[in-house]
Amino acid sequence: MEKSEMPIYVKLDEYKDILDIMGLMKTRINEAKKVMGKINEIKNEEDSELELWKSELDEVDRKVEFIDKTLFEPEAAH
Amino acid sequence: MGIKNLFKKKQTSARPIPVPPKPPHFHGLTELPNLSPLDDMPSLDSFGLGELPEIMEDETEAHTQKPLPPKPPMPQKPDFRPLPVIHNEPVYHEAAMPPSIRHEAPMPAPIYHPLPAPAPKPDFRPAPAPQPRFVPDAPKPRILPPRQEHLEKPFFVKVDDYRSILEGTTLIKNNLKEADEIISRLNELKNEGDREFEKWREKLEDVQRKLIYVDKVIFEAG
Repeated sequence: MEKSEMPIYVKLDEYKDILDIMGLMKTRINEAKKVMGKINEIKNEEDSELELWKSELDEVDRKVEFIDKTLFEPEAAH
Repeated sequence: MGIKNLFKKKQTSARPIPVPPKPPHFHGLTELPNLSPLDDMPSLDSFGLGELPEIMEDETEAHTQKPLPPKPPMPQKPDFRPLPVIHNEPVYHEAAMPPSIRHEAPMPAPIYHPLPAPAPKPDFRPAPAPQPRFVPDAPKPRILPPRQEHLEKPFFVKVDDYRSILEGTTLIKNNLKEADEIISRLNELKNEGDREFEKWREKLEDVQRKLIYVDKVIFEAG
């Protein structure tokens, strides 16, 4: 084996700390996934509530139009 | 000393038994009071029982037993004749039997066809054990690498692996920065949504007030 092909190693002094930090990062990633799932559920609930609000708003709009038409165009109501 | 002498009555000692002392003198027994005469006893009339009824002679005779009347003579024992002997075996007359039974032909020997060989039993294999459901979000137990044993010793990695680790660390840093920015934008969106909701609530209250006013005007006019 020539000198250029010989493997070169790098010494890691605080290997144990690195392992601990890696485990902590894995734990944080799992927690972030759980939080993201919960946020997604809340977003879906928000979307359903907004859809319900939109339908109610449309209904109120129709009724207001009817009242406006009845009040300002009495001949057309007959 | 033998066993025979075990239960043998022991010989009395030659010393004489002392005489017991005299009993104490009871002074009260000699000074008992005299009993009252029988004339002082109360009569039966003082109890209010009245006069006792007289006992009749017939009643005394009723309690005495009268002699029983003589028994009638027993009837004579009837004369039973002995029953005829009945034979259990029936007697068949061949003339009275139907022809199908009269000419008894020998029964043909039954023909036994050999049964087919039983089908081989299917090979029932035990059902596979239920596999546990895959839970994607279940936290996996942290498996420590085997090099954990060499924590105290100096640890070396190849240069290529070291470069890959550095690139991965840089990538993670960038991703964390992006995640931080995303969270900031989400926070801004949330605040904007809150503001819009507050505006909408104010407008809704304004519309409600105007609707109440219109309703009041219309019904007062009617």
